[in-house]
Amino acid sequence: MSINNVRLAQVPVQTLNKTTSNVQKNEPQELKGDYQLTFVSPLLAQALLAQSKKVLSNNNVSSVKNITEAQKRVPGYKNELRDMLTHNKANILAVVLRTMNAQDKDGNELIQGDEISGNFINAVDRLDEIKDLGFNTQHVLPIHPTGKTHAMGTAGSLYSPKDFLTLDPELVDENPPAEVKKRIEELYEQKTGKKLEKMDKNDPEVAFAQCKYYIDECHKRGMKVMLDLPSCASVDFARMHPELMAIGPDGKEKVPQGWQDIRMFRSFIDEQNRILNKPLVDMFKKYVDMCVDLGFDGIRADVGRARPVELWNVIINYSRAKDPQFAWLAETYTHEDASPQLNMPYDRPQELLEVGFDSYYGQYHNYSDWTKADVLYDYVKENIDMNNKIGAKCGPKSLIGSFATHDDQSPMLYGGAPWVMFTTILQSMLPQVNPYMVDGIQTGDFYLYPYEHALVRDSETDNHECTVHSGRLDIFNKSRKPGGNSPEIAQVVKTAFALRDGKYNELNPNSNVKLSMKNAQDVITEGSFIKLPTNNPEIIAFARHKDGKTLLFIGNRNINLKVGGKIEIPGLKPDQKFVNLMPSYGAECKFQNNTQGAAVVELGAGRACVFEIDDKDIEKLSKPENVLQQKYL
Amino acid sequence: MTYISPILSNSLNKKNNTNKASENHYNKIYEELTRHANDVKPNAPKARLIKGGVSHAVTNTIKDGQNFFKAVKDGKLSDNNLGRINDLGMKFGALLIASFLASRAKTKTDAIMQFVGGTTFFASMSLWPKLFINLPAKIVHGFDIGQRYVSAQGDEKDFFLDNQFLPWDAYSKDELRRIGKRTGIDYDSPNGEEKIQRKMQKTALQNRTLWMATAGFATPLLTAMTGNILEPKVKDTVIERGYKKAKDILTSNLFYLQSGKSTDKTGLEEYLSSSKADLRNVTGINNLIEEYSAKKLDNDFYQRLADMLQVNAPTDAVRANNGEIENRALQMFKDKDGYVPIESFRADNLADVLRNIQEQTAVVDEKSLASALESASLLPDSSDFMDAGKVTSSVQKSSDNIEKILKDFEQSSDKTIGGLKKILKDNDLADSKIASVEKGLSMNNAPFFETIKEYNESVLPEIRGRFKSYMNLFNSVMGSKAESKTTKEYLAELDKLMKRFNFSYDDLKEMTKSGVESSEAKSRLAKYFKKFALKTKDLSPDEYKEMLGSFLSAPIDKELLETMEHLVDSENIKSITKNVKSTGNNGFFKMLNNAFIGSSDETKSGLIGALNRFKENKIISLEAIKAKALICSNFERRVAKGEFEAALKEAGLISEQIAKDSRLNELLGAARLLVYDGSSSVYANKAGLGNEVDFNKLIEFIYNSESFNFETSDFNIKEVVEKLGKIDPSKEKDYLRSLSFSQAITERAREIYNNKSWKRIFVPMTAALIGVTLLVQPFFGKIKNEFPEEGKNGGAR
Repeated sequence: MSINNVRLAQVPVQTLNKTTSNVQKNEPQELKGDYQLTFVSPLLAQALLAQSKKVLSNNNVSSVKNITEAQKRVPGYKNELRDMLTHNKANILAVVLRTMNAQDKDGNELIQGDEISGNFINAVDRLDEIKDLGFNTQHVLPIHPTGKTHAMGTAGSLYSPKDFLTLDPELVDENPPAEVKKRIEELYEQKTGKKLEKMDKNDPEVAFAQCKYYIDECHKRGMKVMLDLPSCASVDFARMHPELMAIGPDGKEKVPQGWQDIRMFRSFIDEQNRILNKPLVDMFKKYVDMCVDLGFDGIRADVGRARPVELWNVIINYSRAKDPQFAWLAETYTHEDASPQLNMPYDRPQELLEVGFDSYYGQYHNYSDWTKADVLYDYVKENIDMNNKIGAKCGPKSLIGSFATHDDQSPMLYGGAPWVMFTTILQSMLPQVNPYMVDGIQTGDFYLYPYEHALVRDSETDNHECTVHSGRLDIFNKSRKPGGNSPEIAQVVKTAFALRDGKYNELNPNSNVKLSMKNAQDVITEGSFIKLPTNNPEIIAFARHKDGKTLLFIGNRNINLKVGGKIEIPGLKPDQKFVNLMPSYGAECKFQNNTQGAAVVELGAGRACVFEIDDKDIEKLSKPENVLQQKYL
Repeated sequence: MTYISPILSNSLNKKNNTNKASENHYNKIYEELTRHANDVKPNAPKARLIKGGVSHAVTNTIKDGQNFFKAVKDGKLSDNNLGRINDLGMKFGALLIASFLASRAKTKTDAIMQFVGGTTFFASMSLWPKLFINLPAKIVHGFDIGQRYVSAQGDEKDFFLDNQFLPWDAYSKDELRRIGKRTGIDYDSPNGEEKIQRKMQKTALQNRTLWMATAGFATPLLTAMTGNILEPKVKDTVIERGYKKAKDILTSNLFYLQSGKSTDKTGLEEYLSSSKADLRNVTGINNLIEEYSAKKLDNDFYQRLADMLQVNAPTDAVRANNGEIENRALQMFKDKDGYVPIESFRADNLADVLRNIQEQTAVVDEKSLASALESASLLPDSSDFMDAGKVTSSVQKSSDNIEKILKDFEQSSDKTIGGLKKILKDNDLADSKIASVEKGLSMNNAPFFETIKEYNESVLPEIRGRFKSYMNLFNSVMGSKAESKTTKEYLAELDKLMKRFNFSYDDLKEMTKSGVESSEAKSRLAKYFKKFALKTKDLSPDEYKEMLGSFLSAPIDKELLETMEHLVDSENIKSITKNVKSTGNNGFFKMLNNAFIGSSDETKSGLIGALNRFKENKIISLEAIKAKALICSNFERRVAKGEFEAALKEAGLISEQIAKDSRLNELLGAARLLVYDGSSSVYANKAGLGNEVDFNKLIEFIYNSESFNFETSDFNIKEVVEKLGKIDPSKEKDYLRSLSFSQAITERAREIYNNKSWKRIFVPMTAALIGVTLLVQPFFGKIKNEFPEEGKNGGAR
C-alpha cells in the first residue's frame, strides 16, 4: 500500500502546483477552497510553530495543564498513557468490543438471532475481571461501522470501516440497565444539548454516548484505552470518498495484498514533492478530535507504515496539542521488509518513533522461530540501541510484547498453556516492553471456531461465508466471547503483572513467598538488562537490575523437553536461595548454587521462573557487552 | 522541567474558556502543522543497490560458506541466508559429483571435463538470464532486471525477486529519471515516478517469467553447447600442457638421473608417482611376479609375461634348458614397486646372458665338479636307451673319464665354467652330459650365487631405480604424452583432409551409417579420391604438390622428434649406470648392464634397441597417417592416368582379355581394399586378390616411391612410402602401422557427423530461444490503461 503511490482527485492540478511552489518557498499564501490558511503574519506563524514544536516534541509536556473532556467526566482520572507506554508501564489487553462479552446461548460460537453480541454496555461487565488480572490498558480494535461490500465475514472486518467518524451501531445496547441508561442520557445531552428521546442505535450520538460510558468505566478502574485506527477503508467508504483513495495503474483503487474488502488511502496529492492530501489529513484530524472527545487515551495505528511520516507529523502533534499524554502505538516491525506486501511500503520504525509514536510492535511475534537465546538477546539489544540512538531527540520509546497479536495464530496452537505462560512471564520481564495480550489468551483460547468458512443465511454483509483466519481471533463475524479452558494462565498473568507493577506482596498477602525489594517496578521497567551466559542456548537467562536490586529470569524455551545447563551469574552468593516468584506449572525445576558464581539448573519444558537475588554487583561484574541499559527513561 | 513558552502555554490553556474559542485555537494549530508537515523527512532507506560481478559472486559464495558454518556452529541464520545455503549446497554437490566422476575418468581430459561441465552448468544458469534476458532488457528498457540490493538486514537479494514487494527507496530519483527517459516516461509528469516504477515492475516480472520459462532448457542447452566447444580446447590444453610438462621434467631431470640423483627434489618422483602414463602394464607384471613369488615359473607365467611385455614367448626348449636359472634371475629383478619394463628383458635373452656370465666368470669348485661329473656320468645318453649293454659301457666310460677330467681341470689355469666346458669337450663328453654337469654346478656354485647375491643387494637396486625412473619418464614422454600429441596431429591432419574433400552432411551420415567395415564407406571414400584424382591426374608433380597444399606440411612436431632423439640417445642411457658402484669395473656387472642397455650403439638388443624401435614406430605411425592419405590419393591419380592397368599388364600377370573385362575392376577393387583399408593382414589381402595377381608386384606398384615425387623439405613422402612398402613379413607391423585409413576417416566422420547432427538440432533451438528472448523485449513493460482518467478532473474517479 505504497502511500508514496497514492493519488488524490478533486484538487485541480493548477492549485496543487501553486500550493507546492509556495510551500517550497515557505512563503505565506492564500489558498482557495475550504482549507485556506488564515495566518495574517508569516512571522507570527513561524514563531508560534517554533514554540509549538518545542512543546510538542517534548516528553514532559504533561506539565501543561490540559483538561480533557474525559477528565471532566471522571474525577481524579488523568491520561498518563503516553508516559506509561514510553516508560514500559502499560499492561495491554487487545479487545474486540463486538465479541468481548457476547452471549452465545446455543454454543455454536456464532452470535445469531436473539443472542447478544458484545456491546459498549455489556463489555463493562468484564472490566473488573480484566483489571483484576493487572491489565491497565486496553487496545480496542476498531469500533466503526463495517463495510458491507466485498466484505470478509458476515459482520464485516473490523479493519474495513465504512466511516471513520462514527461508531458501529451494532455496539449499541438499546436496552441498558436503568442507571446506565441515565448516565448515557446525561452524556448524550452534554454533547448534543438535547434530551435523549430513544436509545436508538442508528443515532450516532447514542453510540458516542455509550462509548463514552464504556471509556469512563475503564477510566474509573484506572485503565487507559487506545483505539485502533484502521489503515485502510472499506469499499463502501471508498465509493463515498473517492477523493481520499489511491488509484492504481489499472485505474482502480489500490487494494492491499490479501485484503479484498479494503482500499488504500491516497496520502499525497503530489507524490514527488510529498505534498499531503489535505482532505485525508483533515479526516484524520477529525478522527483525533473524536477520540479525544470520546476520552480515548491514545491510538493504535494499524499498519503504521501505510501512511507517511508527514501525515503522522501533523496528526500526532495535533493530538498532543489537545492532550499531551495522548499516546500512539504503531503497528510496524523492526525490519524493513519483515512483512512484505504488495502496495505496502517498507517497515521503518525509527522514523515513526522519531515523528512521535511512543511505542511499536517490533518482531516478538516471531519468537516461536527464535530457538536460541542469543536471537532474543540480539533483538533486545537492537531495540535498546535504536532507542539510545534517537532518545536524545525524542525520548524513550518502547515496544509491546507482541508475542501474539490478533494477526498471529493463537500461541496455544504452538505450545499450549505452558508456552503462553512462558511468554507471559518472559515479556513481563523484558526491558523496553509493555506486555501485550489478545483477549482470550489469558485463559487459553485456541481461536478455533466451528463455523469457520461455513455459509450462513443471515449476514450483515454481502458475504454469507463465515470468513475466519484459522487459529486467529475472529474479526470478521460476531462470534462468541473470547476465552479458553486454561485458567492457570490467568494466574500467571496476574502474578507477573503484579510483580512488574510493584504489587507482588499485595497479591498474596498470606503467601510465604515475599519480595524483599520495594522497587520491583523500577527494576523491571527501568533497570538494566544483563545477559547471563549459559552453556545451553535454549536456556533464556537474564537479570534485571537497578539500584542494587536484582531480579533474575531463567526459562526453558523448549516446550517439549526439559533442559539442563549452567548459568553464570556474576556476583552470585554461595548461599543464595532460589525462590521462584512465579506460579509453578509443568515439570519441576531444579536449581543448584555453586561457589563459582554460577547456578546449575534443570528446567521443565516451557518453564519460566523469576527470582529475587541478592547480587548488588551483578552489573559491575558482568561483561560490559552483556549489560544493556535503556537511556533517556 | 522543559521551558514552555508562556504564549503557547496560555494559548493551549485558553481552549478551556469556550468550546468555540478552543475549536479555533486547535484549528489554527492544526493548520500550522499541516503547513509544516514536510519539516520531517522519511529516513533514508537502509537498503541499497549494489553491483554484481564475478568477484562479487566469489565473495558471496565464500560468505555463504561462512554463514553455513556459522549456522552449524551457532544455529543463527536469517531466512534469506538459509535459502542461500541451498545454492551453496548445489555448488558443493556438483563439486562432489564432479570429483567422483573425475576419479573414475579414464583420461585427464575426461576428468577435467567433469569439473568444466559442473562449472559450465552453473555458469550457464547464471549467464543465461544475464546475457540473453537481462542485457537485452537493459539495452531496451534502461535498467537491470537482475539488479541486486542489500536489504536493511544486510541480506543480499535480487531487487525484483518479489514483485509484490519492491524496495523502491533504494532507487534514487535521478536513476528513475534516467530510466524514465529511456522508457519514454517523463519523471516530472503527473505520477511520473510511479509510472516508471510500474513499468519497471512489469518489465521485470515479464522478463523474470521469461527467465523461469526458458531456464529449464536454456541452461542444459548452453551447458552442452559450451561443453562441446570447450572439450577440444580442454583436450588440446591437457595434451600440450602434459607434453610440455613432461619435456620440462625430462630436461630438468635427465641430468640428475644420469648423475645418480634420481631422487633429486625436482618434483620428478612426485611427477612419476602421480603419472598414470606407462605403456607397460607394470601393475600387471607386479601382480604376476607376486603370484609366482612362492612357486615355480611355468608356461603360463611366460605366456602372461610375454603378453604384458609384448614380446614373443620363449620356446619350450629355452625354458627347459634354463628353467632354474631363469627362475632365479627373474626373481632377482623383481621388486615391490615395479619391474624394469624393457623389451629386451626377456627370459631367453636373460638366460643366455647369465649363462655366458656364468661361463666366463664363475669359478668352479673342484669338489662340486667331482660331484657333478659323477652325477652326470651315471646318466645314460638318450641314444643308449635302446641297448642295455651300451648303457653299461657308457657309464663305465664316463667313470673312467671323471678322473682325467678332474686332473685336467686341476692343471688348467681357467677355472671358470667356460674353461671347464672346454676340458669336458676335449674329453669327448657328450653335450647332454656337459649340460648335466653344468646344471649340477650352477645349482651349487657358491661363488656364482654369491655374486648374484651381491649384485642383487647392492648394485641392482640403484641401477634398477634409475632404470625405473628413466623408463617411467620415457613412457611418460614417449608414451601417453607423445601418443596424445601424435593423436592430436593425426586428427588435425584428418580434419584438413576431410575439409579438402568437403564431405557433405549426407556423406558423413552415410559413412557413419555404413560403418567401418562396409565397402560402401570405402567406395564413398574412394569416390572422393577419385574425384580428386580426376582433377589432378593431368597435373605436373609441382602442380599436384600445390594442390595437396598444406597436407604436405610438417607432419610431426619437430620438438617431439627432438625429444625422442634425446631420450634414446645411447650416451644418455648408458650414463645412467655410469656412477653406480662397481659398474664397469667388473666384467660380470658390465655384461649384465649390457644386457639391459645394449653392448654397443648399434645393438638391436637391450634398452637402446628397444627405445630405438619404439621411437621409429612412433615416427612411422605419425608419418603413416599422412602418407596413407597421400598413397590413396596417389593411387587413384595413377589409376585415373591408366598406370594401374598398364602396370598389371607389364607385370604380365593378367591377360589382355582379363584387362578388358570386369575382372580388371574386380582387381582394382581388391587393390583399393589394400590401399584404403590396409589394416588387415598381408595374407588376407593376398587372398582377396586371388592367385592371378602377384601380391608383391601390386605392393610394389602401390608403394612405388618414384611415383611420390612431390616430397617437401618437411615431409619426405618417398622415404615413408619406401618404409611402408617393404613387405618383408617381419616389417608387417610397419606396413600396418596405426589405424587403417578408411577406418580412421570413417571414425572421424562419425565424430564430425555426431557433432554436426547435434548442432543441427540444438543450435537452431538455442538460436530460436535467444531470438525469442531478444525480440520480445520491445513488447515487454507495456502497461494497459495506465491512469486512464488522467487529465480529467485531476484523475478523480
